[in-house]
Amino acid sequence: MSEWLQSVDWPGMWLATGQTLYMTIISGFFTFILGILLGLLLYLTAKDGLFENQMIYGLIASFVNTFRSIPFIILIILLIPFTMLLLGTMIGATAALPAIVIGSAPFYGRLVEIGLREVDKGVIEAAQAMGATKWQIVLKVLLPEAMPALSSGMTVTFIALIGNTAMAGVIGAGGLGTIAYNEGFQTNNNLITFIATIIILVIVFLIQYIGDRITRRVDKR
Amino acid sequence: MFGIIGYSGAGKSTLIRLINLLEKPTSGTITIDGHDLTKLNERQLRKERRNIGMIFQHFNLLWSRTVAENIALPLELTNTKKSQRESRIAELIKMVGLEGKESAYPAQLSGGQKQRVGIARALVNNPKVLLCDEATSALDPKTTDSILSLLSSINQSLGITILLITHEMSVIQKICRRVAVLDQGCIVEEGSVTEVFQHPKQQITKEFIGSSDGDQEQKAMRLRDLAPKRATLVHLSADNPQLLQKNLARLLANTNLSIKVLGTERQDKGNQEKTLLAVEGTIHVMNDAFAAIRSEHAAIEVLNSNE
Repeated sequence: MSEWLQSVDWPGMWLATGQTLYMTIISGFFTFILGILLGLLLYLTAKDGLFENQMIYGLIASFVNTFRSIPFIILIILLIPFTMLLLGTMIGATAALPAIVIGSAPFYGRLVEIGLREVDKGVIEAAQAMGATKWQIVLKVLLPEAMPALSSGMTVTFIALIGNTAMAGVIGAGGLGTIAYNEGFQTNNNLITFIATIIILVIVFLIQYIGDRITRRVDKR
Repeated sequence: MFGIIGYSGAGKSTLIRLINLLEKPTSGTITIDGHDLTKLNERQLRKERRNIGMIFQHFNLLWSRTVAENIALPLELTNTKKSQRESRIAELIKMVGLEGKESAYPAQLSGGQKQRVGIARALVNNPKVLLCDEATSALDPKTTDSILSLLSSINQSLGITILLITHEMSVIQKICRRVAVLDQGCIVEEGSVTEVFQHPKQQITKEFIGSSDGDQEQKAMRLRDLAPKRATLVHLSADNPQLLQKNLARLLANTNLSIKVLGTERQDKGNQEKTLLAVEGTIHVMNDAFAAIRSEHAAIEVLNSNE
């Protein structure tokens, strides 16, 4: 057993873990921002929304639906020209970020939209009756009141993100996905695949734990 | 203090929401304190809305904010200075009697306390008008009373016009001076509360008043409690009361029955009033007397027999 474990390239494994965490956190950050924007736009421009606009709603909804439907592995390939344009390279952890964000933000955007819809209409009406502007309603009422849904939605999205980083690994993004595929699967070394899996599981559980704590903390209902 | 009463779907909520233009009128104007709200643009309307406080049936508090933060919201919208904000909030918390609850979240409050927060929030900008949209309909009777007396003291001490809509006549009766009855979008009756109560003209108004003294039965029970313990209770009624009255003394003259008049009762929403009597005496004397009364075209009905 210990001989077995010694055969693992640990520095390489930790480096890969670092790359996975890097991709998860950075793409998570951008997914959060972009997802909130998309969700807000969907919510506000929808029928009976504060900025009802059928055209913008239709446009954003079809963008979101399209990018949510494309399987991620295909999306990465489709986005290679875009990534090249943006970063000048298509190899490495950073090059995987645009595809991961574009794959995840529409998903989170829908979760944000659902969360905003659950905000009590009466509270929005109360704010209008106080003489609040539309932006004040968004910033002071909608987003704070939807916070638990935004936070639990982000937890779910983060975990989906990790799956995407592993998949991006297959086409050379680095991280635990690359190790599990290149060194584990292709050299038939199941131990490596197994260890990479364990590390990913630990990261997932950790994110779930932190996400649950934050959600409980912001939920005063 | 002006009350509007109507059944569900009569248009009460729509009417009150028209007043601060939460609902846009298709025609007509809304004038508050000389300002025609329908002619204002967005910005002017927002400014005018600060002079109109509103409280709601379901309170509509932000659960993500504490009591103090909820009351602060209208002040934040106008960028009021923090120090000014804090002293105003402390004032209002005191006025609505929520001292010590400043940092509680709405979820930790009872219904009555939530409505007090709602009232404080509505008053924070010193409005000229306070709109109450079924403000007590989600509360139990005791809490309703305490909220109503708070509203009434606010009306007197601050001189704010209060407009409230409700489906409960008792609410109008307790605090309003004037009332309008709304039916299918139209005001069918309007006037001072005492006048409308005493001389309701429309059928719908009568229904509301009828429902408010739904404690007829309770009143009847109280009358009966006045009767001596072993007395027989009877209902006496006659087609021709004058004739009965003339003969009653004669009929009962030699009977040594003790008779006590307790009052009048109205049964089953019928129009005929019946006199409630408590009769004491021996059973056969009593039966003879009742038979004699019946022979005079009067009805007598024994309600209990104490044998």
